[in-house]
Amino acid sequence: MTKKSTRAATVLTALLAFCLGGISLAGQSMDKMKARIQEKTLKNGMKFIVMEQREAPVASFHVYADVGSAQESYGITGISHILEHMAFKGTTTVGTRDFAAEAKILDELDRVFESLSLEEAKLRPDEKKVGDLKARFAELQNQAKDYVVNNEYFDLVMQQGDTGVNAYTSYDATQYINSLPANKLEFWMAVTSDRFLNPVFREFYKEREVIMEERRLSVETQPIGKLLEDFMAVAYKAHPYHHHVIGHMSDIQAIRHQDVKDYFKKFYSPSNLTAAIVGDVDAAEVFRLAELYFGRIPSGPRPEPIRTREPEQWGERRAAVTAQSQPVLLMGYHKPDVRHADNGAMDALANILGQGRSSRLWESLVKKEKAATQVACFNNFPGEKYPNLIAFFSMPSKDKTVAQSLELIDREIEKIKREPVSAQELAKYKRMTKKALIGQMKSNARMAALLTQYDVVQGDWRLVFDELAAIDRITAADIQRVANAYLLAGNRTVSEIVPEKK
Amino acid sequence: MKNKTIALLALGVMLLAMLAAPLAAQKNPKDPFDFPQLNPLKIPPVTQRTLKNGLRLYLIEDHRFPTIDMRGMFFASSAFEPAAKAGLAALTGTVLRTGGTERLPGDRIDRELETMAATIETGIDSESGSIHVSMLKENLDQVLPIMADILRRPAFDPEKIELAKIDARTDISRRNDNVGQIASREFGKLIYGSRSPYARQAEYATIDAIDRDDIVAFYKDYFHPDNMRLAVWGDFDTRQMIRKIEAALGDWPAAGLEPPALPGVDYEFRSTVNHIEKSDVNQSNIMIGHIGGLLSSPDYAALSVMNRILSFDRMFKKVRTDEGLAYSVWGVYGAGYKVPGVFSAGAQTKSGATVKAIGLMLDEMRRMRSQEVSDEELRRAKDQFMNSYVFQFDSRAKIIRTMLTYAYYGYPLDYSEQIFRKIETVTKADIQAAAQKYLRPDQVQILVVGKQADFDKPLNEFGTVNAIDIAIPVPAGEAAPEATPESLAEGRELFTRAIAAAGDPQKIKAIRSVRMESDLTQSTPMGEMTMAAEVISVYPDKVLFALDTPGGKMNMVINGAKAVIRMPQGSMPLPEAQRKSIMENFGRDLYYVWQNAERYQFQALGVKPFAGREAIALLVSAPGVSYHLFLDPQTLLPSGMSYQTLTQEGPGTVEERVSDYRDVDGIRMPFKSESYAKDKKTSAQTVKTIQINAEVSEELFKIE
Repeated sequence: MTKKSTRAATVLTALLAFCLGGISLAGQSMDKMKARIQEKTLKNGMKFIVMEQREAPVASFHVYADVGSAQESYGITGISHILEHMAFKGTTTVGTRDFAAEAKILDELDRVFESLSLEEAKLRPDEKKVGDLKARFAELQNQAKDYVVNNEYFDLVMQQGDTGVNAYTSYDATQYINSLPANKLEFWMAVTSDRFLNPVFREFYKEREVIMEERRLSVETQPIGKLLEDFMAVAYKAHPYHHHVIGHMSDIQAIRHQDVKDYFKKFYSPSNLTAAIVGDVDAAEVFRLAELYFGRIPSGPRPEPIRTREPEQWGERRAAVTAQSQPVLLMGYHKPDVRHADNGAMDALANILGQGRSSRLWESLVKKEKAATQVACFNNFPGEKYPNLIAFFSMPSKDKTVAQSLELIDREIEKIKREPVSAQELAKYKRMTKKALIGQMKSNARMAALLTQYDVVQGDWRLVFDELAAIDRITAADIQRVANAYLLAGNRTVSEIVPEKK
Repeated sequence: MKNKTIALLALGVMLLAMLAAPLAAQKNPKDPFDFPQLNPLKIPPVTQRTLKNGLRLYLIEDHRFPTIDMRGMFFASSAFEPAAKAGLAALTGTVLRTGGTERLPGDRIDRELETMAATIETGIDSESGSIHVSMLKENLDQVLPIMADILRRPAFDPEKIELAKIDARTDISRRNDNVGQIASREFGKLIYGSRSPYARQAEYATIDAIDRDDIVAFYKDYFHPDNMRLAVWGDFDTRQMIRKIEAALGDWPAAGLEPPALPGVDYEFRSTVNHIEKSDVNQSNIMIGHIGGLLSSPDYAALSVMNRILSFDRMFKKVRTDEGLAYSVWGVYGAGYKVPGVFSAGAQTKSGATVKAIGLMLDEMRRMRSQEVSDEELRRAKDQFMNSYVFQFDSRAKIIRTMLTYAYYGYPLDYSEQIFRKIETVTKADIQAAAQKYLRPDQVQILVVGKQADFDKPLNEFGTVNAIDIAIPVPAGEAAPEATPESLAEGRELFTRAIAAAGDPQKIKAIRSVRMESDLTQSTPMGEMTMAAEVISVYPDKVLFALDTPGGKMNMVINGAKAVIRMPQGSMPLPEAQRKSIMENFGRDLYYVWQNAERYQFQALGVKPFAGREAIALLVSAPGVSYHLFLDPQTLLPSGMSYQTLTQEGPGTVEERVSDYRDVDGIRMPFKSESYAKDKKTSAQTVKTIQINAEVSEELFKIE
């Protein structure tokens, strides 16, 4: 026994020395990659970032709109996501048999819906009028259908071999992605610029129904979905991270076609869009085509930044969701946004505490105390553009409680505030982060996402590469300092799923 | 030693021809549909090598990033674990990695790997055993020996086995938390059968039944070099890498064992309607389907094209876009490599549209059979396959992993190219023929997880509704409150009084054998069946069970660790699971328990309902056995017992009720008994004669 552990200890020491000595990891190939990236801002303000990757004749396309659910106010929660759905409904030429005729019916539909909403909002709605308007609305919807070429945008890009057509809306951003054979570059330019130049939000009222199903699917029938919604609502009382990306059901039901058109006008001007293309493409050719196609979009002002900030917290907050589920713990502490000088140390803190099988929380909660089967800590939750949370998540083992998990997490938090982390833990963090970054770079699609995200949120895509140097500068003292600055009971929200008693 | 290199399908040339062709029909002339030529794919070939011990290697260099990845596959499957130990394969796959090696404990491996930013993960599922390794290239000489140790010299640390079991029990306790998980799991059981190795689930009882010996034995059966395929990709020199792998794994002795064949799937097409009640949801999770097929089917190309049209052009466009009824909706004829896949159509829709959505999906299935697809649909689907084909080869990792998969399942290494070429030739008639042959809209199984009270119409529109109970079977010992010295003393006292109520306790202690003749009525899928039965129990470890079946006399004999089953067509050893199950019965036998009372613990649980009446409940347990015994409050004679076991429908609670006590040599014995599994009556027994301590020939229990 002693012999074994001595040998193991020697191996570990040797490794540690090796890791601490060998941190200049992959510096060269990083520089080479950086050299393959070019950027250009079009005259109308839209920015293109291109990375030439010649491994295979394919390319990934990423358009990042700097608008997410954090831009939404009361009454229109969920509208960023609704707009994302509507962006697949076609344009004045895609998705229609006769746009001129179709447009008349769409306008009429909106007018009828408006009248219907007004009538229904009255204290004593005229029931006959409501019935008539509903019938007229249904009739117009059927008429509109006759002009629609169902899902023509999807058909168009998939027919050309798109394997990655999709879009995502988050608290911070709305992102549109495609992956095509590289010879479809100009095709992508034409079709995608059309989406932002001539969008038509047809089938709007049906699509709202789809989104309601999406809300039921991801929030209302999922105990963890419910927990996430309530956790954020309690952790944020003022800042719009307060509401879920999908929005409140009543808002989804009430948002009008015109609301979406206004929202598009406000947030989709070229200066608010950033595109990245990674793959077997020529940067000069990309820039030429981009000016030709996307250059057609008229420029507009950048939207005003949001005003509301989350005020200082007045004490620990709690939330509980009762559900037909086993218990779950989700907890978070407020901290600054990703651009703040402390963010790097917070990343390291989250990793050392709760990422990986040898992290402190896993060692304690899962391996030693057997109080949980899953435990994790993540920084920059649920977004990174605005001041956000460092969050802790635990799934208690069978017959164990949320309280036990919380107590053990608290113990580790106190410890990391009291004593500096070890050199080995810090080295481990640095190495894991670099390896993870290399992993991201292997995929064209993920690289395109990374470049736009860094460029928009952090202000420069070059930081993807420079961040490695910044990570090397983080010290154990930095980590101890940020732990003491942010991991304070009065600064946190603790939420849990409480199993429903049958 | 073989060393061959295979070229990559002359892919570049082919893609070039395919993708440069302009489209015939152009919808929007202003859009640039005149595509330039696609650059050829310049990915180098994969090197193949077989080591002397049979380990097959596939290697491809990729110098763009300073990393190395490996993926190994072993012929193994959870289908090879005994049903009574469901979960054994998964536990083995987990503890192989977490349980450490002879050289390093598991926790030390965790730390060493993460310090290097390396990962090693292992697992076993119904299709394969696997190991995945990822590292920075400079750590190869540290990581490779750890990987080799994990595969060759795993320690299976008992503490890590216990940890993995806690994990497995937690998973069981959480398996009804998520609606989607409930739907796909229960749908799998409907298609493959709840006892099928491809659908069954681990239960507390099956996890409890697994010990370290089982895990070690399972590992030893399947983890051999000649049973392994290993793909390696990344920043290395191929020759050097082969040398290093040879050094690490080359002297791992071959086992020369043929892995068993995967059990087949015996599907009978049928129409069923099934409902699982979830009172706390406002949306139904719907799955509709039947058995699917194999990738090797000659019709697979036509089915692939059909899938794209059914799922997107039909289901998505109709149910989602036109009707706004669902966010996700699909219809896919699934094909497996070795085990038939599942045809499933599904959607999640608001409770009030449940029946409507099911109707729409069935209509689309029918339309797929009754009409040819349109020219447009066919053109789009085929173009999609042709134009996206390059993405199957757009990274070296993808190329080598696909090759490993084909090699593992014994498919031709160029199988995707074969399918691709066939897809080019698929016609509208082929698709309709495939739909007619493979889709059975009128023989589907329908599953709805949702809140019945809110449905638009009753589900019995589609047939008789079968309610599925997803309550998680609780292990017998668990429902009881913690034992106290008082409840244990009271329990022993009650048990002693129950024995005294049956007869002279000394006389019962001295029973050597019981011979019983009876009529046994068994509920079978074909109805009830009554057979003459004879049971001879010789305490403490011999049982003979003789049955007059319609197919002739059947004998099961158990003599301690040996057991045999004798039928008119010959004898064979009794499967271990069955032997154990019968011996467990013995462990619950009233007289046996009395004779071994010092090994048992008796806990009084107070008065509980049993068989519709009140009874005094005891929790009786000893190592390896645990059951509830119920006593009649008036007579104190046993009125029955209940326990957890593997029933015909998977693990569940079995209840045995006894009555009609009569006197046999001064001992009161029950002459009637009935068995219930999960509340359904499964058998009844009417005793004709009982003899105590009759002469029993030793010959009867001889097992060669």
